[in-house]
Amino acid sequence: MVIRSVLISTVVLISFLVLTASGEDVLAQAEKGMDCLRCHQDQAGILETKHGAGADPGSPVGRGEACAACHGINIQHESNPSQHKHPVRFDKGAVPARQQTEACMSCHAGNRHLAFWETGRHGRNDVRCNDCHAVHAKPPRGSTIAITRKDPSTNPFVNTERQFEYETCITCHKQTRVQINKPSHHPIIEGKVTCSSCHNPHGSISPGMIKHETVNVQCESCHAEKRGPFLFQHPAVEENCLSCHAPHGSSHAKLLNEKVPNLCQDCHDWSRHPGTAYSGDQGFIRLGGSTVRTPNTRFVARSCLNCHNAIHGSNAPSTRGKFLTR
Amino acid sequence: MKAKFLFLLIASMFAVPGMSLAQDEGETRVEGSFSVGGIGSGLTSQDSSKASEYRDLSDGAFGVFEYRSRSSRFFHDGYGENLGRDDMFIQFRGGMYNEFKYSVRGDWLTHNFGFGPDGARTPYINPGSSNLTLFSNVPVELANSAVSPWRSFDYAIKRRNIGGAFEFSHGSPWYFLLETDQAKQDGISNYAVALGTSPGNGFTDVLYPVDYRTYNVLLEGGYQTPRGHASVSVLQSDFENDHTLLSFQNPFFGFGTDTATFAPDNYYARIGANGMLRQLFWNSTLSGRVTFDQVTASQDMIGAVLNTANSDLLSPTNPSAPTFEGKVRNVTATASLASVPTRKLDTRTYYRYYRRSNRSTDVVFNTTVSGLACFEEGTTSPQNVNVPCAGHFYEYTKHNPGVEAGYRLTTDNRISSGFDLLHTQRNRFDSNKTSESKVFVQWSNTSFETITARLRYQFLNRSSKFLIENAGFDANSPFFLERFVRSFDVANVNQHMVKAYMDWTPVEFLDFGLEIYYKRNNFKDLTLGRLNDRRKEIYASISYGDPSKYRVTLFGDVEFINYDSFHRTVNAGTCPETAPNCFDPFTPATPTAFNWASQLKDKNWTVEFATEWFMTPKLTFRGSAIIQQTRGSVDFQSETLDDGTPAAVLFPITSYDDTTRKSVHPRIIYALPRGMELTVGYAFENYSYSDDQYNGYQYTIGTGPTTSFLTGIYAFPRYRADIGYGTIRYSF
Repeated sequence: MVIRSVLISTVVLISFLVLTASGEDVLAQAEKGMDCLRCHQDQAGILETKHGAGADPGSPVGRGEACAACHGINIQHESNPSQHKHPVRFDKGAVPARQQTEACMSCHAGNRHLAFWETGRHGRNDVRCNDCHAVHAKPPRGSTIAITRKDPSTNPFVNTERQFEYETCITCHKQTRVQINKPSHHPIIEGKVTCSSCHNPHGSISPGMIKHETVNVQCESCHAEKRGPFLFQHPAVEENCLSCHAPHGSSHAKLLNEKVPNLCQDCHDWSRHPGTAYSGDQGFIRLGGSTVRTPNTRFVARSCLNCHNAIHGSNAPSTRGKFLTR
Repeated sequence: MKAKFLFLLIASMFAVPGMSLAQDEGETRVEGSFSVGGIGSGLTSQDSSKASEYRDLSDGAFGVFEYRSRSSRFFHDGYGENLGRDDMFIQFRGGMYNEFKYSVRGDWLTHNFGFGPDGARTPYINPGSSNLTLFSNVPVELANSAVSPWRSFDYAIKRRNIGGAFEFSHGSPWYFLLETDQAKQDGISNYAVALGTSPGNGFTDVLYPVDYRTYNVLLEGGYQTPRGHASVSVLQSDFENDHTLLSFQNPFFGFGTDTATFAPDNYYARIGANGMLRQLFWNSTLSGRVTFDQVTASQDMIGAVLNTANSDLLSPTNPSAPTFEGKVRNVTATASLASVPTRKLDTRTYYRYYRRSNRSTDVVFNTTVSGLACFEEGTTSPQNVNVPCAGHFYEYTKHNPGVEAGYRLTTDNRISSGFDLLHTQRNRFDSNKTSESKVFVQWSNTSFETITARLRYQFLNRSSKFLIENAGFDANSPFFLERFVRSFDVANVNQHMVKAYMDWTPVEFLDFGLEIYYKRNNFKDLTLGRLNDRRKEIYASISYGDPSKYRVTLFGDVEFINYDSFHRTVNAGTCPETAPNCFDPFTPATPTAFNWASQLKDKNWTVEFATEWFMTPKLTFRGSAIIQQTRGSVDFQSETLDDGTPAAVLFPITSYDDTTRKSVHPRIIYALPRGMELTVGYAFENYSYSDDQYNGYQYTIGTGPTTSFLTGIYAFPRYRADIGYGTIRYSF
């Protein structure tokens, strides 16, 4: 492990040496038109952002508009700042949310990622761009843009220096903050799946602001083996993965909404084993007063899935496939 | 290891020329950092897979790098972490301003479900093979006390995503995008199969080798302006599975070779078009999307299977076609008109259309041999009739119109309401039509600098047409039960949902958060199935501190989830003469045919704390702590017999995924001279687990040919982890 890590790191280090062979500070150029920083020194972080990239001819600083590009111009502001505010401010409540968003859209409306902003729930619910984007902050490690993180992270140990996207989203989506930390969860808090892996925060034309047209297409974009098509299908699976799964997290294995066998029995009642009551005395441990003497194979471990493991569909022949047991 | 190293080499070579280009401009600003570190962990567990479910906690070294470069024409970013480890992540992004952008990305993920030797183990001697062989002396000598000679294995899947994207716009509204990635999954997964054709014949956990690869290529071209946007995209996604069949020895069928099938290769193609026009009448935005996709797969049908107890004889399945050719097509169309006709009023009208059609090969297995035949309800008697099994191809059409309107009482004080109708027509045996009506009202307020509040109520009514109301010849037929069962995904229901949300900042640097959630589904017009479910959740948080000096946050959440259901047990395929009409839940209870009810409860709570304290200009302390608990239980009630005694004594389930997690994670960061920084941290985690389905776990159940064999999967997730780590970073 140590040797391979050193090997890999060496390759990266060589790249660095090439990269850092030259490097002239162009801060002075980036500061063109940034007179506002004489007073607003606490906003100097803007120079570390895309907006402050003086080298980019498309950025507010690059095209010489600097702060006025977003905040507008009030020539009396310099003489009496408290009396003469800038036309566009981004404090909550100071200026209507829609007006704040329009300031951003005046440049970014042509961005294809914002094509569905007006029809998305964020746009219609007065979510402002700077609720999520830390416009004046230097991007954190591993990111080209800075997103807000209001509070310190409660994340359990994950070996990373990145600021994860979910830490912005949970500011408003508070229950999701709890769900993604449940015993069964997608690797969101581990930084391997992001909220925007499934959702488009800039607006979507699909319910739940998911990126794809249906929930199943969304799930199968990663879980490609579930696409089938199978000869023997499970109708509930084919129509909506969410009938059984809670994608943000669950107390139960495999992100299930409810524990098996109860989940299965809420649809399947039949003679013999589907309709049988699997009570607490049918586990591995013998309970006093119970007449059950051996563990019930329909209850212990994964219960129904002990036999019906092909729950997402099967191409096995005859009854093997029909009952999803192979 | 080889793949990781090669990727890094290629990615580095990809990045360096880009940087050289940038340097040619003569005004390049480069900054970044490089870290090396080490991690050591002590895991106390019978099976430590849960501790490292998505993390690589193995002892060793790791590296992190980052760079950013900016010139007057080019920008390039690179970042990599956990270099050389199972959870490595590397990303390079960059481009030329207003001309093109590129990205290259590699992401390694391990998903661990079970580790041997004390957790995951199997009676098959060659785990990882697609042809599993049992120990020669099973099942007699594989009693629970003799599992130690079983083979150890790791139920773990390693996933590797490598991809890249290139977007070219040349400073024009036109753009062209190419995205491609490959997802590769390797490992061993746990599967389970019924040994015979009845649950009384036992089951066995088997292991199948996972060797999946998914190749995705997306081409997209479009035109984007502030006024409108139009694009067309084509996606091709090919899934390949090297092991679509698993052979294994089946002790119930005389140790004959049995076969399980797995997902075959599939080919998914999608064409989509997006469009948007802004600044229309009433300050409207019209958005639309049309997609067409098709997924195909092919798998040879198995012509003969084991079907006789204690014998390895094969019985023909007589498929009507040698190969199943699967073909499913989806068409979707969506249009949305969002308008702001006045400063106070905003509206949205939308319509969504979904059509799923199935054009797969209709395979029928022409055998009525018991064990291989499906069955139907008898037409002349209550006895079931054996019939050939045939596939079922699910199709549906959905229409989903809706309208929403919002009115601003003041500038940022808004009430809104909406109506959504979802009509579904499908080919399903129990219900072919469903109509869902949803209305909501919402009040939201962002007008105060100190408070953001939202209150929402939503009501949903679902009504379905059922095709099973006359199922069964009479109440002596098992099919008769279907008259009374309603699957919860189509059952008639009234749903109430209330959500309240508030963020309050009474003074600077002090924040309160509150969210209350309540949802209740009252299922209607059913006798058997889920009667209702409820979810109640309260979340509260408090945070304090100037983020530039120190900040603490504390939040708590408590959640109650309930499922109430009603069922009928009939422990026979036919009714005894002494108790006729046993499949009618309204007949008097007998010891073998009775109704029962269950109430499943999940109670979960969590308290989490975190702080960030810039103690001195050079010293920072960060810490977090978590206490989280989940508790599940089920209460049962049995119908009573004529004499007043319960038809069955049903013991409550007292532990149902009961977990407690405690975690503490303090670390300090110290700024050293010359751009160096030292981080030292320690994490303690303790995870306990109790569940009536796993407590007292045994690797075998029963004796003789019907013995069930288990592998320990999910049985021993308890762990204690002590993790120490340190990194030193050089920034330039």
